[in-house]
Amino acid sequence: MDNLSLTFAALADPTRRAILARLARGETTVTELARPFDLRLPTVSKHLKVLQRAGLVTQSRDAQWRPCRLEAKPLEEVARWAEAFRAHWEDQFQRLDAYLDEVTPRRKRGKKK
Amino acid sequence: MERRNDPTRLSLPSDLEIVVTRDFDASPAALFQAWTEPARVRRWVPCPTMTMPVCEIDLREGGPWRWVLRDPATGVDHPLSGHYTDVARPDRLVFTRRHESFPGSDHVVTVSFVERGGVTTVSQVFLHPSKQSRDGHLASGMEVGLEETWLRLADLVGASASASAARANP
Repeated sequence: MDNLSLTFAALADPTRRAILARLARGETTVTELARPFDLRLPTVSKHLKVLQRAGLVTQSRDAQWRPCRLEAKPLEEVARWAEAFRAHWEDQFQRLDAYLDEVTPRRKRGKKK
Repeated sequence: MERRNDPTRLSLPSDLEIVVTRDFDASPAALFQAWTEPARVRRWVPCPTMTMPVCEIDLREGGPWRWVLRDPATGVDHPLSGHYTDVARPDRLVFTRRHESFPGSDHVVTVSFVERGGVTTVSQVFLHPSKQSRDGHLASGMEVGLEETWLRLADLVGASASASAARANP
């Protein structure tokens, strides 16, 4: 699977998105991550593994504390794809707007019909 | 950034959908025509560098449609086709759609036109049979280098909850 597919797959789960949202506020431990979700630690670890494989989360090698942190790069890639798609439609819609202007002279709809 | 001239909104409300929304200062009837009459479609669907050698529309439930967008610079054709499954003039249009060059690209498009106070909101929902297909469509775009912000990132990550919140962001 390419990187983008990995990222999308990792983002497909609401729990994993919530984990990312939590990590966006700062690094923390697996135990802390598990708390708001009412999940067992192995379940959280499983989600973290998916996020790590996608490069979205890294875990420090420090054996004492092993904090998890968010890595922004894969998300930026996703955002770039989505933005390109949005921009594509915006371009197309601008042409539609210009066309509508042309076929509807004095298109001003301040008043109601 | 100026958002006034850039009013198209995108959200990913589920793993299978892409939703593109925009307001137009026009009636649902005018917009419905813009989607369904070849002479009108040709005026806005192809970008200025592309041509549209084929624009066939058989506007009835079960009726086929086929559009071909051609890039004269590269000679590459983008043949799109499908059939209409719901034709509810001027409120809604539902059709299947596939990019013929990409097997497995089949999806369903629902375009709705909702007027309020003279402004019509166009909403296009692209519903894919699988997440891979949805993601492929989203990624099929282009390598446009665009400045990214954490704001947009947040929109995406929390897309289901923040579609309207994102809209409120300047």
